[in-house]
Amino acid sequence: MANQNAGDHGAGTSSMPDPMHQFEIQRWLPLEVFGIDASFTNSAAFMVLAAISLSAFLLLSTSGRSLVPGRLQSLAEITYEFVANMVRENVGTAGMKYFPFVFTLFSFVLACNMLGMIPYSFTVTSHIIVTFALAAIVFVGVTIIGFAKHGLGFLKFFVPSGVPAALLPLLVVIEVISYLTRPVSLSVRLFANMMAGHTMLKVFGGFVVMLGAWGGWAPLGFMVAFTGLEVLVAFLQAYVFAILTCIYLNDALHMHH
Amino acid sequence: MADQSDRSVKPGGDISPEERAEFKRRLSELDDRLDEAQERGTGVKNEAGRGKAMGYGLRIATDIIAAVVVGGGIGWFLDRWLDSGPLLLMVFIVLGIVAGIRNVIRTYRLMAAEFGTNTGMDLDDISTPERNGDDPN
Repeated sequence: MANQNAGDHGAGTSSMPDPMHQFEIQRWLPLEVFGIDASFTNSAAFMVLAAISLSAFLLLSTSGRSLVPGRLQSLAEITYEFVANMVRENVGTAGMKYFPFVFTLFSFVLACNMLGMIPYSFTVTSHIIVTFALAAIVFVGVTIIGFAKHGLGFLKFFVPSGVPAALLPLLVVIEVISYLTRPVSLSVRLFANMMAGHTMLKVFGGFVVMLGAWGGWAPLGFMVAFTGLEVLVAFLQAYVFAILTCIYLNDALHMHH
Repeated sequence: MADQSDRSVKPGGDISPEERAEFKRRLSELDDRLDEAQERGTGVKNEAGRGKAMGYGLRIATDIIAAVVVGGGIGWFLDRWLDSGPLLLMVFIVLGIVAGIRNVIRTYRLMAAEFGTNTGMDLDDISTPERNGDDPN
């Protein structure tokens, strides 16, 4: 991973290191299954790392299970409470059935985002195919739940009531477009924020190198502040992803507001 | 809080009604002050509110763009399928813009429900069809 170092690519101080190099997928263990490239890549490695670190965190923090929680256990309890309250507030107690899914989704996105903040690491969520896969799971799952719960009555979701019949076809089309927007906005939001943030950091990192010891302090100061903002964004994006999943679940379960 | 203070006083039973009333008054006064202090913001509540507000901001920004892209995409595919030139693309981009604005109004309503209507503008004045009936979302 050391070859992801920006310094390796910016030859001297005159040329900029490529800020997009950090997003390159590298095949660590080439593998082909029935003509499909299933190589173990750096992206896959960081997904595994996120899953392992999450599991380790939760197992370690809850192994003591003391009545008065220690630091680690408090952290796990806060995370649990945070997501549980989110589900309860947005979906109601009927939605607690889906709490494990929302918790997994939230913590996985958060872990991927936060791991990406570590220098030289790879940000899994900066690839649209990853975020779109996550969003598609949510979208398809929620649609199935809607139809399973309401049968064909779920189609009424697209029919606004109290509308003159002449306008109805137009409004149904608009509602359908609005519904189909969900996976796109869900995935693009996460991917674009992560990619833009990390590119910005790299670009300003390049400025520091270019301007050297005399002028490099200004972009360095900016980078420190921007890294703080990026940590906030990493958390906020996981939060937004989870809360929108809750809102979509609520729509599928209750249909009305 | 009132019934809680009731419960905490009753079991004793050996204080006079005046004392009890005085105790209740002090308790509710303390409660009010606590609420006030929390509202003024010891930081924690405010930070959470700001985070939520930023979350809404991020949602609105992409919701409107994604709707236009999805609308345009649908139009483009239909055009290719029906060989109808750029006509449906144009129609569906417009519909996408409408759907995007619809998304934003929907998100705004959730926002107004959470933060109160103190958000600078009042969409209640705009009459949209679903206001009269059940909101389908």
